[in-house]
Amino acid sequence: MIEILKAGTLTTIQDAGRSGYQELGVPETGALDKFSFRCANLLTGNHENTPAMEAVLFGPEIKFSDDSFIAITGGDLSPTVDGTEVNLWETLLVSAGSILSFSGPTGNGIRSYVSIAGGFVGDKIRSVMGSYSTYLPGGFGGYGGRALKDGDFLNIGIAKENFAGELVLENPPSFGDDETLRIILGPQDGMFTPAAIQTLTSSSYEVTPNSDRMGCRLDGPMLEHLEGPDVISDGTAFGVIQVPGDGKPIILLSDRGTTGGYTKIATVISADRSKLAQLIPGGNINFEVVSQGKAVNLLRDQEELLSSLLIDGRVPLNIKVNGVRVDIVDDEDQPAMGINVKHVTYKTVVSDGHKDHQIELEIAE
Amino acid sequence: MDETTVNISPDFAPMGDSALMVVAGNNISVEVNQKVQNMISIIKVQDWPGIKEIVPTYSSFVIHFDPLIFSFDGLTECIADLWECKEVSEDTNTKTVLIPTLYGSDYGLDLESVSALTNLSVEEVIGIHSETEYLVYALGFSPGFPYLGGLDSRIHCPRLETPRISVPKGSVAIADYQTGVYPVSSPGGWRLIGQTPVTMFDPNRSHPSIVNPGDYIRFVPISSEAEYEEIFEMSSNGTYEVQVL
Repeated sequence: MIEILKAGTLTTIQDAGRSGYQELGVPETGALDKFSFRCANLLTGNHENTPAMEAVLFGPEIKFSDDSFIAITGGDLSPTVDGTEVNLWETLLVSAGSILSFSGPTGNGIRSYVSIAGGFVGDKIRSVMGSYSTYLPGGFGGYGGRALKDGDFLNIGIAKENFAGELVLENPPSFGDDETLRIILGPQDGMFTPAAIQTLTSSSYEVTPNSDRMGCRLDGPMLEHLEGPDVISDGTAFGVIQVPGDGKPIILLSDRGTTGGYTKIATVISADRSKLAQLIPGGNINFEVVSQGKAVNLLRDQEELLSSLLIDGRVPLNIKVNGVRVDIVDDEDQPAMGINVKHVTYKTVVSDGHKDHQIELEIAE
Repeated sequence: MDETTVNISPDFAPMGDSALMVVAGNNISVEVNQKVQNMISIIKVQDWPGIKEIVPTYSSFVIHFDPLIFSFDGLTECIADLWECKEVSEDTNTKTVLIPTLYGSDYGLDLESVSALTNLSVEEVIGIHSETEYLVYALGFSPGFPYLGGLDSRIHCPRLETPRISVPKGSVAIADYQTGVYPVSSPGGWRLIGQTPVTMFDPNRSHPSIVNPGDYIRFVPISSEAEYEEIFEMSSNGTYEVQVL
């Protein structure tokens, strides 16, 4: 069990989102920074869609009543365990009685994800329409349909058997106050003046403080419509940039309305979702147009970053040579994700500083 | 007004790398919306890999997909190939849902003003509003809010100049050419003419919404507060079943 000693600015239970109910007007909801959310779960041996906490700006203070594996990912809100700074993006082992707290944002993102081996469960944490995500305006999902409060207790589910922890995400993302978001034009870029497209891609926009889980509101040069801002209400997507009559873009996020009646000039690519979710109010952003093909390749690269943690929740096998981790590949030169004594011989490459040497490994049971 | 309705071929508009908007026409009409609904039914039975969800609106729909499984170009090609398909999918299972409604007084605060604006008696407004079967073009704005078209032009009224801060749950309202039901209490600027005791949307039900896109709604006048209370009680404890034609 864990106790929420202090809830922080806005701490909610989220998962990867509610799928299949947008046709009923139910927003997608879910973790804004899905990459960091998934990563937090994989680092604690959970299925990647296990409910986790999303903390914004000033994170919660949490007391653990059992020894537990946890992980913190996403924006750096300065986490400490019993007063000692801890790393993001790796499995942490906390002891019974330990207290996790956050001293505040550092300029590296605004949303942290906290997962625990086994996930957060209990009577109050229920799946509504196939998701544990909290939808605050509708008052459903997550912990009783609301944000966590001081004094809440959360139960912990059954952790993966024999989970040994010690996972680290290599090359984790970092976030700043001057970001470039890559976009694909459309769906309604044709309803803007050519100058508006030029303005969007050559200007700097400021993230305003009245941004929330529904949308990120920007301030900057006006984007001019050809014939007014309205369209017949149509569908929306995460990252789509709508432009109301005042010409100031709003990037729609997880809790956005499922339909909207404003023209949409462009859409932020999926691979930049984390950057978008971690934008700091007051920070600046620029937009760069990319092709569909490039967007998909960038997304694939990002998935590969996670895939090191994906299979069985384990990192590829590696050995330490003079303290340096060296990856092991199997006989098809694929990263070895587990030991199969019968069928595979393993090999790796070590260097003596001048030359690489391939060595074969014999693994004893 | 453009008389052409359904597009001969679909109009594709990318919404990033993981969503595709497919435009079936450029106006609000039953014909275009039925093309939207029918295409969605046909696409759903194809069981294409990587399709996450399809969201219909008035004249277009958005397909959310995984671009690592199904490419954008592959998806547009497949949809274009199906566009000519005229057969109505067996999956299309639309129904007319009867929504009991208590019109006027405390339940429809603007009924008198609608009557005055339209030069019709209150009874005539109720009669006109409750005789039409309204197509559910889409649900949006808030969970379970149905966008209904087909309001008789005799009772078209502008929105309120000042929207209400809170419109009670179940309020039946009109605005311009539209009518709808507020499934949950929310701010709103439509004119309230009645209220239904039926819980239109409940996130905890297995079918959260009483109506789906493509269904029809007909409002059935309730004669007394006692009947309203009785239905309200039953709907609240889950024992009321709406009548379906």
